[in-house]
Amino acid sequence: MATATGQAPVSQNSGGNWGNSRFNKYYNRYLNDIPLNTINYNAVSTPDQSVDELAAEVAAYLDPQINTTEKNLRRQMRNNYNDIDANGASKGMSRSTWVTDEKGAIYNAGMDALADAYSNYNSALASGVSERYENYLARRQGIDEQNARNQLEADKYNSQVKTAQEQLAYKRAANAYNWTKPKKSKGGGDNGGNNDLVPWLTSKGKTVLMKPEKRRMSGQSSGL
Amino acid sequence: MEQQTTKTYDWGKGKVNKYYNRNINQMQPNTVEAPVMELQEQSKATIEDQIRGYLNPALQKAITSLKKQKDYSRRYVDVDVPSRGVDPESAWYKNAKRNLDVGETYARSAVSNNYLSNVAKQTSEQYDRYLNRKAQYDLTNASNALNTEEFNAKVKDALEEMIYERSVRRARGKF
Repeated sequence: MATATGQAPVSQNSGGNWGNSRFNKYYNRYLNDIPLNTINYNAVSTPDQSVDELAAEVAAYLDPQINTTEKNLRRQMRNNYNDIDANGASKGMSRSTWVTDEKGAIYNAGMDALADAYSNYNSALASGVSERYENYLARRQGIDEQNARNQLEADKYNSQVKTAQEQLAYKRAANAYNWTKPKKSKGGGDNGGNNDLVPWLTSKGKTVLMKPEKRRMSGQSSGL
Repeated sequence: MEQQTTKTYDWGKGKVNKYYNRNINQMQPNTVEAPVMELQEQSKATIEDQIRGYLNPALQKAITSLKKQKDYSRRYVDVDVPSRGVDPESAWYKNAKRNLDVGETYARSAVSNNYLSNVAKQTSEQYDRYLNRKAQYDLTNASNALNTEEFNAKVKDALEEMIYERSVRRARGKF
């Protein structure tokens, strides 16, 4: 059956190792800021049904029929026996082989009828259970297939969302780094930059450098 | 997540190589795993056991009922014996009882044969359906695995392309 976790796995992809702590700082900041809008899929299920359980259900509606049939056959046999005895007595043939033969015929007919009834019962039970079990397995198969499809689609979508998030974080970190890139001093190196400033798109469409704290106070979202 | 094997590339540029090779083995692609549908394995023997398991009680019930019917009829025969002044050891009485037994045997045989026929038929049909279903499960799994591999291959290609582009930019001092 399909693995129905309901939550698609998303691998963690770092922004890479570019040997620059300032860039990494920007990258991780943006990666945390950018929401990861993944989706869940709802795994559908169906109650488990065993063959024994189904057999009990089918027998429950077949049993009353066979019990009634059996009772009727027995009553009919008794009535027929009594009729034969009465007939034999009225004809003065109580001790004749006619009575014996007639009762034997009634007996054999009764046994055949009972055997037929039980054979029909057995066949109905077999086909009833088989049909219901097949319905259950088909239903389960349909659900398993749909769950697997949904799981795969959700996993693929979430993978793309994760990749897009990482790429956006990288892009914004690159912009931030390039905007705040320190002017090289004579000694070179990567120190002295405006590490805390991040580029910000103002409402007038201009890009400015701003401290994250101020950005939060302004309640605006990043335009980069 | 799939584990990448360590590999190195030579792009003809020292810094590009350095950045590319450092990251290609470190950054993991956002791959996905193929969902696997599992079908409980069944042999003909297990299916037959299962079917016998729920048909056998009905067979036993039938046999019990037939015996009950015979015993009921036997009481009539027993009543007939004194009324006819027949000796219980007589051939008539023994013959009458034997006929009852024969009648029961025939009826029981009919019910048992029907039972065996049902077991064989249901086992055959159910095993056939199981094989069909297994084929469908296997096909769906294979299709999902192929779909997943295609997706993962694209993800890996895109990641390698991205790392290369970033390595080139980084080698130029930019991000």
